[in-house]
Amino acid sequence: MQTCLVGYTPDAAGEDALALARTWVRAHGWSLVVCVVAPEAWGHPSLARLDVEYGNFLAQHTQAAIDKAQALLGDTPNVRYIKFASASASAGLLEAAKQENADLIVLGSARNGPEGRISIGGMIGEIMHSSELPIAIAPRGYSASASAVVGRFTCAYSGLEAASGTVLEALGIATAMEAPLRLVSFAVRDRQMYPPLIGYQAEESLAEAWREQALASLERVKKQLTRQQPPVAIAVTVKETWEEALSSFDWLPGEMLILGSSRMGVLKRVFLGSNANKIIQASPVPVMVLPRAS
Amino acid sequence: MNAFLNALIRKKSINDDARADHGSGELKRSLGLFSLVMLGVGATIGTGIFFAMAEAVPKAGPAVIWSFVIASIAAGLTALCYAELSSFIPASGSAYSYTYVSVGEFPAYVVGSCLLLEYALAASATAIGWSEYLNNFLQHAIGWSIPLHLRSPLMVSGANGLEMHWGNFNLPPIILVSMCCLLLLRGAKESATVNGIMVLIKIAILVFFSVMAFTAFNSHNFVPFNPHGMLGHAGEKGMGIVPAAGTIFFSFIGLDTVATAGAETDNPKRNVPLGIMLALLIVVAAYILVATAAMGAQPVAAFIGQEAGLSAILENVTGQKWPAILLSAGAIISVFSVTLVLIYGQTRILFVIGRDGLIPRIFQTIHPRTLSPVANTVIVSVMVGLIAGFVDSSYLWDMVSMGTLVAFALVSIGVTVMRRKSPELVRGFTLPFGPWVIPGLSVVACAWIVVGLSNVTYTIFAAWIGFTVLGYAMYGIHNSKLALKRI
Repeated sequence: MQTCLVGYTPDAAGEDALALARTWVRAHGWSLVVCVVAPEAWGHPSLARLDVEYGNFLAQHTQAAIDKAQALLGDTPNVRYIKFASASASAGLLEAAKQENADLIVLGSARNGPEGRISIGGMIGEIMHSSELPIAIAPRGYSASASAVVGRFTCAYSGLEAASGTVLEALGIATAMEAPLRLVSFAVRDRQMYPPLIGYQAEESLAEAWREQALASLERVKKQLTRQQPPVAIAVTVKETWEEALSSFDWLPGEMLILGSSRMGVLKRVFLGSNANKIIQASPVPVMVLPRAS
Repeated sequence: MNAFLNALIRKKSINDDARADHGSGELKRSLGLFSLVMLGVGATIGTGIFFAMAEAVPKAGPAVIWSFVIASIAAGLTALCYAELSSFIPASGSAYSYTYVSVGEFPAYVVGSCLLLEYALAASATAIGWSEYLNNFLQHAIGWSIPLHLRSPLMVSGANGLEMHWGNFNLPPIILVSMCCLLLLRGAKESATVNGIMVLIKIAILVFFSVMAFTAFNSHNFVPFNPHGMLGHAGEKGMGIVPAAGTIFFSFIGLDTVATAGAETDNPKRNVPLGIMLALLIVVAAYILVATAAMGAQPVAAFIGQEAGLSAILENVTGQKWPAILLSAGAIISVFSVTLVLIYGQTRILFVIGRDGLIPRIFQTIHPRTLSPVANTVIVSVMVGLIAGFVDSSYLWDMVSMGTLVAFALVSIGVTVMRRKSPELVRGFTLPFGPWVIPGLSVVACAWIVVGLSNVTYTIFAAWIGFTVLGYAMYGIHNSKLALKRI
């Protein structure tokens, strides 16, 4: 049986993560591990017994979190609750996932983003960039509208050679989950060269060429997957912002967006950000980030 | 034979172009008169003034001021013609697309090939000028200068014509072009803010130069004022006011940007012509100010072969290094941006021509992630870099002007053709005085300046057009999307 590990915190983000994990395991008969990571207590005894007091506080806090998660999950089958002590939340979750042989890590959005969207905080960023497992992230407020089933998988396809691996993985997931797969390509035309010299329309022309190219590329992939049932759908869009691009697609209840992990180096990520980050933050549905191909 | 001739003048319809270019994701803009003027000044000023003096003053002497006036009149008349066409042909590709719609496919192909001279060669030439200012900056700032054989071209215009200096290679322009290429490949764009900063830097440098240079103003430098007359005296082919106007004509490249922005302008009937005129006045005033200051500061003979001219003049005038360092630093930054924009413009023109099927498909392949035309950018950059690395810039400026003037003349003809062919089309802006006066004057002005260009320029241009005709006959005519659509 495959295992989904949810990184739980006793707040709204934790609720969203639990809601997404529950949908996933209910639909596909996976087992669920709810993991609460607590900071490591200082190992050396102090004369004032502060270490013991702190240790007790952590234990109570962790137990309270697990109690809350239990109350939320109710009678969901195949659930285990674990506590994990680690110096950092991200390292703890990754270690716990390894220990539990997890196949998927589910997280909630960081707290500083808008409702209905995902915000990538430091912890999610660290996990995304170092995990060897797929990561699913629930948007803020997802628990209120959580669907009982994963309605469809939408895989973002860049058209690059490396993206074919992502498509195959997405196909594998969709087939295993008996859900339809849709491949989408989207681009953002948000910049203009000043002065434009040959007129403002030049960039429109490039965007149009990109749209044709992306569509042809998706058609080719679709042709290779003609035996897939239900058939693979495709869609392409070019908009001025990532938000507009993602909102322009229709999204079914319980739909999930699948992304390949960024191939960019650390420096580039830190200083420039990546398209993947922007896409995740603009997505109106939960996002699954597949690990970088080894 | 008739079929062949028909192929040469087959025209795109306006709707074809509008449909092709207005895909999804169109950005909406609304430019007022001020923005339009700033756009024109930003696109025009600085392309040539940093390098023009050393090329043009020896040809015309102090009368080069008239050369600026003549060149500005031709540029202004043509920009007005652009304005009328752009107000009802919503196409990218500027002169190429207007000619495709108005005159026909083959003339458009020729215009495209002229634009290659206008943008790619101008990029090579500005990169060479950048190299001079870089060397000047290094020399004054850290006391080190790039070895002469690494900043000199292989093909040199010497006293006896073309000379080959096999040990020479101009490295800095290649570095500059490579940097521009990498930025463009990443999909980088110079934003309106960065452009605004560049305009300010350029204007600040020119004002700074003029103020400093005027402190050493000597009216004797203006005598004789017009040593070579309009077209040079007997045996002086290539000298005089008009040939100098040809050489500095490239300083007005970019003014047509105001016209191509017509569709995004509030009240284009008033703002576009006014914007062109105001931008032109500001630019020509700045050029004449700089030219007067420069010529007041040193005699005509001192301009010949002068590298990093404006910096060198400041150093001579003040006897100190810091003004030259400041000016060179400003030139290095702003000319970098000029080269970037020129290479960008070139890639987009080739992209548009590629979309029409007239050149190989590789020019319109887009990188899926950066949305930049990768092969196109690399090919253009290699070409621009190689020319900048091996060829003397004195060969380039006249070629740039030749290409630009021929393209401008064909666009002007397009206005008259469209007035006769499609008088019913609603134009956002219509030239005053009917279909003949302004386009006619524009063609005459362009032709007059072309007459003054050197024989070498004619020879190279003729060879280039021959190559263009060959390219069209062997590829363009057979792969034209317009032709394939009609079959």
